[in-house]
Amino acid sequence: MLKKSRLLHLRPRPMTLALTALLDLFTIILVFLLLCFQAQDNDFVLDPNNELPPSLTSSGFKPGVNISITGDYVSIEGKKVYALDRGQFTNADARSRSIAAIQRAIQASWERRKKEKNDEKVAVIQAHRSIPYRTLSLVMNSAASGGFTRCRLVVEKE
Amino acid sequence: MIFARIRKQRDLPQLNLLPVMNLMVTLIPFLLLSAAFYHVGIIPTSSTAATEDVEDDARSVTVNLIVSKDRIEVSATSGVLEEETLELLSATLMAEDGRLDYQKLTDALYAIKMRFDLSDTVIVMPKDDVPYDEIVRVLDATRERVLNRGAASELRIPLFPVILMSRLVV
Repeated sequence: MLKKSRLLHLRPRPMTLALTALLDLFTIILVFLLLCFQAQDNDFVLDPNNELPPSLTSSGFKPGVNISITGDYVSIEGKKVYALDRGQFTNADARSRSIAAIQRAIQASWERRKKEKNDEKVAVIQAHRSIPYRTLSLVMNSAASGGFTRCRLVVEKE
Repeated sequence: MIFARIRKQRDLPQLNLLPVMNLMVTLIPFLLLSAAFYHVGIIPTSSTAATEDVEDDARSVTVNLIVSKDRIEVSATSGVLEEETLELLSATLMAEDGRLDYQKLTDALYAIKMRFDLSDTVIVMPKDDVPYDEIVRVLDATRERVLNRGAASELRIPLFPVILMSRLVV
């Protein structure tokens, strides 16, 4: 009888979830994400077709007019302005000093940008790591013809 | 005895982790949206069109680098120094096993910097077929000398932070 009465005391209690293991996991994810967190909005979108070269630079990103050079095209602020053939300009344009279409697009982009933001007149160039200097130089010259003599080459920090 | 132990275990206070979990579930999507999984940096450069007149000084030279796939040619110019002095600063760094030695380039530029401490400008002239990847490595070797890389005592000595990009006209 005594045993039975004791057993009656052991009434089932409401079930609780064991959250400790899940909390451990979340804490690890939280710490990882806090390390990757970027508070500043850089207004920079990495072109998915670009693979940036690694660099030892310690200079942080600063915004400017975004120019992207991939193997297939040159784009300015996300808008394709010139088609490339495996990272090269066409023969006729490759021999010229600057590309008028790129120059016009950069200037138009700058006109829009300076109304919205108080940025410096600097071109931010992201290029695929395999792009030859001939192409890079021609884009830089085109930017310089449009008044963008200063450039920031975008790299991936090692 | 056994029942007493079971009851003791059952009566242990349990932490209410639900509010913490709620906070986590809110924070994680926010941080996921703001996370940057690649760390982007920049290398500031100018085209030679932006060149201002450099004051001639006996303590400064302008370094020129001609970069090709198999070699880097280093030379220096100055409006004050004699041609013989500048000639001594010239060097050609050949690629070994098809790879350029960027540490040798840094060492050569460091030697120039030690001798002409006010120098800060380098004109980089890569050949047309040099890929962007190689140019970035040359610029890294040119801008600063990194000692104890990766260690807590890492030291970065500026070499030639002002970079002018030019094109070699053949």
